[in-house]
Amino acid sequence: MVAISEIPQIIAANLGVPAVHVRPESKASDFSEWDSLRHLLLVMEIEEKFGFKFALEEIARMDSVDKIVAAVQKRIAA
Amino acid sequence: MSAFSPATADHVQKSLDVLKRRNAGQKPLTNYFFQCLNNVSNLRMFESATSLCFLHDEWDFSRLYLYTVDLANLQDELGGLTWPPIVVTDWLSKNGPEPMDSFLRNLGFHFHAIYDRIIYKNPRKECANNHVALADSSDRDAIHALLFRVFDKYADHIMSVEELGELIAKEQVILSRDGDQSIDGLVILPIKGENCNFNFLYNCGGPSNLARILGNFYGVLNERGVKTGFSWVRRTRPLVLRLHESCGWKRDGFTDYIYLR
Repeated sequence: MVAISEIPQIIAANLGVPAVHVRPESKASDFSEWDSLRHLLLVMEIEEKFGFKFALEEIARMDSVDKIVAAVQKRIAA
Repeated sequence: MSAFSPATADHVQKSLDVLKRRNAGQKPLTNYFFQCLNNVSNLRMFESATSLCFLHDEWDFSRLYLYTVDLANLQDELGGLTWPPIVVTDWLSKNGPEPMDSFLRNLGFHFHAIYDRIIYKNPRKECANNHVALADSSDRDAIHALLFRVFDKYADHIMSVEELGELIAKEQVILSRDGDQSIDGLVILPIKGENCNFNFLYNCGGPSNLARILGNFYGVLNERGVKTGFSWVRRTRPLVLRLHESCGWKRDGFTDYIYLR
């Protein structure tokens, strides 16, 4: 399984931006590349890498890097 | 010179039955799978001993359907006809566009778009949420205008205003709205029994909105007992295909080749 610390790199790769640009406090609105389709695809890639699925309503609320990380941490802890 | 002649749906169907009986045992080529002949009056037909073609007017163009057991002869016959200004035709195949590609190009058509069919069995498990709502009859005209603005009228088989109104009445159109109550997302989900053929998904409401619309889409499918369905994805939209595949859809090998003349 991948580490939670790798989530920013996964997001950067999906958006096609340098990893250093994706910081914990980064929001979807900070990136023109982070559109609705990319949002779903990047979270679904994270789902695949971690081996669980979120409800689409949960995915809708993950509009920043720290929210994605928090959602993954919560799911792992559950 | 021969021409396409006005015809009723009943006339087309009866002529097609005669043609099939006359050429029983021969392998036909056709792109007519009983689409769109209910309650339409704007048909024009051409028939010969081995072929039948008809044009159905949609918006500002005509869509060509054909049934033939002799494609080479049909090419000669159609080559001498007077055509409407814009004609669109689809060729559905699992084995590439030939022989129709050569046939259509020789008649002056050019390639317009390719769509791949995707299917699902048992939709993604989701619950509908309260962020989006079913469309109301008062939304009908705005939705129809949006479909024309966003989708490809030649390729996407945009429904009539009346058909859209029927889908709204059956609670098969889901909307989302922005702060000004303008439509910023929609999905149209025509349901027949346990099947949903879903072709119109739109979002301009930001990253979260699409997830919510899709959540409601799958939620409604689950609530209404929908088990199977299909959709078409334009080959130039690989990310859309990836999204649907992530939700459990699979390509089934059927491709729709669309031509314009």
